[in-house]
Amino acid sequence: MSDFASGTPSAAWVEIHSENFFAAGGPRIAQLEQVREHYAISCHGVGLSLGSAQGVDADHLSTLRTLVDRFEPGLVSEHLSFSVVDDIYVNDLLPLPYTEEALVTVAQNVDQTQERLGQQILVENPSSYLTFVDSVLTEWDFLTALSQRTGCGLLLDVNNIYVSAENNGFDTTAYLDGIPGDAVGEIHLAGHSLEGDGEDRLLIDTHGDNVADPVWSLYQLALEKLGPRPTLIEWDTDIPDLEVLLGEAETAQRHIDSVSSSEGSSRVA
Amino acid sequence: MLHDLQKSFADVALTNSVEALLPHVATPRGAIERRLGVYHANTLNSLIDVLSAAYPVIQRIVGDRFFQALAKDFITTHPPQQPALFRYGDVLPDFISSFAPANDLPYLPDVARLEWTRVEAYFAADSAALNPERLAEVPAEQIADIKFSVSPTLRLLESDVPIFTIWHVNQPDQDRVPEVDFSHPESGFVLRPAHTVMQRVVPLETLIWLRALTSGETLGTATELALTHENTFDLQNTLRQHLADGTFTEFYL
Repeated sequence: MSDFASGTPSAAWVEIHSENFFAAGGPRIAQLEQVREHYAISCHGVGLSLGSAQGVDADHLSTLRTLVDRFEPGLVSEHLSFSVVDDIYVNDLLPLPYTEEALVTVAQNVDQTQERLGQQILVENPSSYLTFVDSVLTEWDFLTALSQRTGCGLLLDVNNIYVSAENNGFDTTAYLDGIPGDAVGEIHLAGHSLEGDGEDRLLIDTHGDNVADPVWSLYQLALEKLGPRPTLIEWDTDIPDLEVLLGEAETAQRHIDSVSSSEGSSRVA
Repeated sequence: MLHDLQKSFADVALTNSVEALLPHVATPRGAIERRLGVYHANTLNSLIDVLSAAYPVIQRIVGDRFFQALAKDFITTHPPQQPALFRYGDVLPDFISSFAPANDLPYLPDVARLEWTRVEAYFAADSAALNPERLAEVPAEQIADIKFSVSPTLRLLESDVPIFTIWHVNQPDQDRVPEVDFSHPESGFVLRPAHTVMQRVVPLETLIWLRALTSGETLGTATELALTHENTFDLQNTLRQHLADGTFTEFYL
């Protein structure tokens, strides 16, 4: 983050994990103040647990509101997943069954979040390694209904679509056709890893590698269907030199430019 | 019910107990247990990383394999209760006290307390240090009545073992571990004056003085307590040092 505190790298905005900045003070927040002088901020949460049957935590929302008031992010986003059960926090984005009960739960939690923050949030599709036998909706139909019921936007993670489709056997084109394009406010790209082969073949969402070729192709397809969208490269583990990251961002920008009309305004971060 | 399903999934993530969830999940190919294992590995490994970042000295002392086993036991018995993970691991020092395989290293819990204290100081609220010149305006006869507010980053530590020395000789830049007298008690403090956490060993009388001031006693009372413990306690130098360190943020009369 120190590179961005000096304002040197070319990027449209900087996305933070909201919970990393929940402290009362200290160097991290001071550094974010510096970053804020040079870039717009996007707050991407990983701990609100929008899918929790027990509801979202009021203290968590208050702290998030304080962060949002202080740094005035252009976008606030969270995940279609759960991580809190009986006040235990599991540090992973666990998937939901796509049932009417889950839809009602998530919609209530999104309503409460948007009300408390006083703004729309974007909800991101998760990567997943399994499906639930109780699911009655596809993930894209679930996200479409959620967006219709709550007015929330969508954060489309193209790598997650690819990883989940490969692991769980659904059609990525049907996914892109099924989501409401107007609701998509941001796109994420990231690297994944391949483990095992044959029956055991499994894609793992690592955020620790270059974006894979089939994900770039799916990204191109998404841009052609949706039009240009602000795009972020996620790389959280085994973080490479800044040049490698910026190289990925340039590739994404070329894809955006290829579908932009004369006034295409979307940028890569 | 969604809640029961989520409870079953959390058990998979934390302890890899899959029985309750198995009837509810499916995969188009391969073994479902392996896929559930990905969630368990993600959860466990990410939390081990959190503890490893907070307790690098403990990890260096016990070694990576021992630390992983310790962390795994801790995570399954004391999972996080909130998602701001810089607060996770606060009770690890107490857990180490009750962790039988660590009984051979009785100094470990107190060294862990020092490490957690540094984490707390790092994330504590910012504050501006008291300008020493303002004290010069206080009439001499009122000096003893002064009370101080202390920095929200200040933490006081007292141990039967040399925790600060053990911490120091286990820093990454120390490649030769010198002889340490483990029977030597140490007291000291941790403070984050601006953006860097510092720590210093102080005599016990200075710790007594700081403890009294932190709990709201006057400068006069705190000094008497320190002198009672050690009659060579040097108020002037100690006060000057702590004003320079930024220990105090405000004073009252």
